Amino acid sequence: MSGPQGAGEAAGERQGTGAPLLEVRDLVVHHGQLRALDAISLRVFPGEVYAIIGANGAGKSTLLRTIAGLHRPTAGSVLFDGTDVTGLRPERRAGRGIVMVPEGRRLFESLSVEENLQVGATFARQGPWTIERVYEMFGWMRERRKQLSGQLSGGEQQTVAIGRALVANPRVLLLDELSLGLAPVVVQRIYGMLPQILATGLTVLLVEQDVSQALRVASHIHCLLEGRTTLEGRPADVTAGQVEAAYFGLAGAAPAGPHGEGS
Amino acid sequence: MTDPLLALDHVTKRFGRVVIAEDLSLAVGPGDVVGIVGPNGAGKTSLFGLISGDLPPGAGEIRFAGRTVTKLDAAARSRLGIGRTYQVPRPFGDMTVFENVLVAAQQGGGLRRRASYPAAVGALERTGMAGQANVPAERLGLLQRKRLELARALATQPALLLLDEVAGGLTDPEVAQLVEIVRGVNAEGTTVIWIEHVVRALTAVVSRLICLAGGKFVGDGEPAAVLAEPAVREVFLGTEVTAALAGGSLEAPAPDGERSEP
Amino acid sequence: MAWVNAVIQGVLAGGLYALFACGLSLMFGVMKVVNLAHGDLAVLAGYFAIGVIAVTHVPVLWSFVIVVPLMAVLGYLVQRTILQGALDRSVLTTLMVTFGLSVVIENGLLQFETANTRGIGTDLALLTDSFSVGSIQIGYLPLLIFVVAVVVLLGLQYFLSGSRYGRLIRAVADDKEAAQLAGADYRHVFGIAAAIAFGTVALAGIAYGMSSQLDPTAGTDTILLFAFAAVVIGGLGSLWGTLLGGVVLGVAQQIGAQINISDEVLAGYIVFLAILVLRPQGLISRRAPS
Repeated sequence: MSGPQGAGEAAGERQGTGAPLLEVRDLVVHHGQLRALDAISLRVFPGEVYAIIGANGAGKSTLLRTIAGLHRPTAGSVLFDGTDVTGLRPERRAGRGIVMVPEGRRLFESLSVEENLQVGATFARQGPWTIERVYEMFGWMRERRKQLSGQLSGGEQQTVAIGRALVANPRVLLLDELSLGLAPVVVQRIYGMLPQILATGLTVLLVEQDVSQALRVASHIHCLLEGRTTLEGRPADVTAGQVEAAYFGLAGAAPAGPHGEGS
Repeated sequence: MTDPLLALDHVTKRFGRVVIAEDLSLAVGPGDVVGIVGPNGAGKTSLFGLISGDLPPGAGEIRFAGRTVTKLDAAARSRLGIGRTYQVPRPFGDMTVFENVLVAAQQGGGLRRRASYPAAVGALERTGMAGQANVPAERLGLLQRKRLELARALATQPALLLLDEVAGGLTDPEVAQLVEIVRGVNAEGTTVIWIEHVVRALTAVVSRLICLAGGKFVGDGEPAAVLAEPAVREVFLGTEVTAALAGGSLEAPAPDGERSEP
Repeated sequence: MAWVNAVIQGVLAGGLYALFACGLSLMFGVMKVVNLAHGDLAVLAGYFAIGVIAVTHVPVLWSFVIVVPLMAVLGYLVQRTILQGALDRSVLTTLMVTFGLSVVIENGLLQFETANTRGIGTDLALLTDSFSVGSIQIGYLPLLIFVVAVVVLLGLQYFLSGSRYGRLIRAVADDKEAAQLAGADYRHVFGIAAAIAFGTVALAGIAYGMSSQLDPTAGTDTILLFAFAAVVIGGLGSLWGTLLGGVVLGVAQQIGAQINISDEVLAGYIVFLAILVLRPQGLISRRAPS
């Protein structure tokens, strides 16, 4: 395969799984005058781990935040379970099942670990996730649940942030740059929890700076460059050369050929 | 090289325990165009801050045009000839384009009245903003704001121009226009160091590319060669993709549970 | 002995000051609103109580039951409409809006009432009486007000730390965007915080009207400044800090009065300035160092 796959081809291979849970159509987003996203479209199917990759400034986090409702698009729409949610405020989207773990954790620092989880559970939907279950998954949290969340390490805060999102019983979990500021070992451990999360029926849409990490966990990847889609498809179907070219946007960036011969 | 215009000698800068710049040594010759890439948080803007004087120095020495400038503040360095743009263009909205650039010429360039007017006009012409000279800055579109930002930096008549992510958010033709302007500026003798995420804008213009990650230089040389270096690729693309580019294929992703930690 | 008496009177006064201050502190802590009309709301509640008593002839203490909840509802409405609109624009707009509110309230009161002072009559003999401990006289009313203030602050503390909405208020104060992502409509939470602020300041205002005289400009002349001083002295973010701040202010004033009767208010402000210079974060800082 050469060149980026179109959304149509990629979606066609996944059609068998039914209707998309989350869909974005021709989304255009601006930050003031700066155009951050240029007519982006994507479809996430139930049970997938959909990873958005790309260089900084590519628009990854902007895309996720717009899906979560923190940002209003200039044009285009966001659909959830077939319904147009573009006009809904973030808290209403959370109520429908779109819950985001924001970049930088953003815990309530003056609240304890348990209180953070309790806030997350305040407007929760029905579902398998409870605070108890989060404690079962992250053993250490039960012992330290009264501790002020602002005093935890980066990795610990990240797990609490994920727990806070899980107790709301989302249908699609948005993860924004989990690995930011964390040691690689910690990042691996956190991503290692994805299978457990998926097993409860969730779908995951994530933004990841580390391309290799994204390829390790994703069932579908989507590369952005300067607000546009440059690559889309299953990790098994793309070559390293394609990923590199899509990431930097340079035709033939590496002296290596498309199948990575020598460098 | 002949006497470098800018030299960094074992420059280190810390914020508490976080190392922003680690033992950086760099030499940029007069007339060079150098690009800097790196992930967010790598220390790129901090590096500019150290060079321009916005950031107080840590350890090490910074020399510019033969003088040691380590202890000089930003205003003094600006008068010596170091000009810079900032990531978010923030012109004086109520003032016209010309007035904005004039302020830069007089304050940043230290030019007296007589000399400042032609300097301002010259900067506007080089950036293609002469036609908008009397437009209030707040009415400008994004590309024009970036050009104004560039003009303000040029009006200080710098020998060294530091560009901080000027290409972000621009459309393809706009990026091309910007690249042309930078080429023109360099052709007139101004040395340029350019931080950018939009890599293709850099590769169109620079002869030397440096990759900064975690406060350290990870690659330095001819752009295509630098981007092909494993250490540089690793910074952006991670371990597996880098390994695959060097030979071999990307493994099909296994569920993380089956993977053992290194 | 006069000094001991001064300290005790100051502590009792401090309770009322703390009650004035806690709403101001809450609105700033949660939605970063400096409510310049805060003192005027207390005075408004006082006049409101006078009006209710005059019309319905209920016993004085019933006026609390009627006026305080109504003021709380008013707080919610004002926050959701006027203040939220201003917050969406800028900090400066919000400041000007609360200033405007203050002007409107004061002039409205001047229009309908006179500039003369009014008091809320306390016909219960008990409340104007006092008892002695040794050579110290303690009035029942100031003591009762102090007890009520402490109880209210305790209740508020319990509400914030132990209840669902208390947690939400604290969460929204920390990070309103993250709270949205967790399903909370922060505008509603702001409204509740404002309701609590208006309610407590109304309670304090009526109490003030019973122990002192009300006049339309007392809000900005006296109450707002005392509330500010109590918050600054005690430190932002802690209700106990606010109580401590109120008490310190009250005691400083009474001791000042002992030195020179006309230096009462000045003494309070001297302490206020001293704290601002020496320990600007207040006596009790919000967070434990991490």
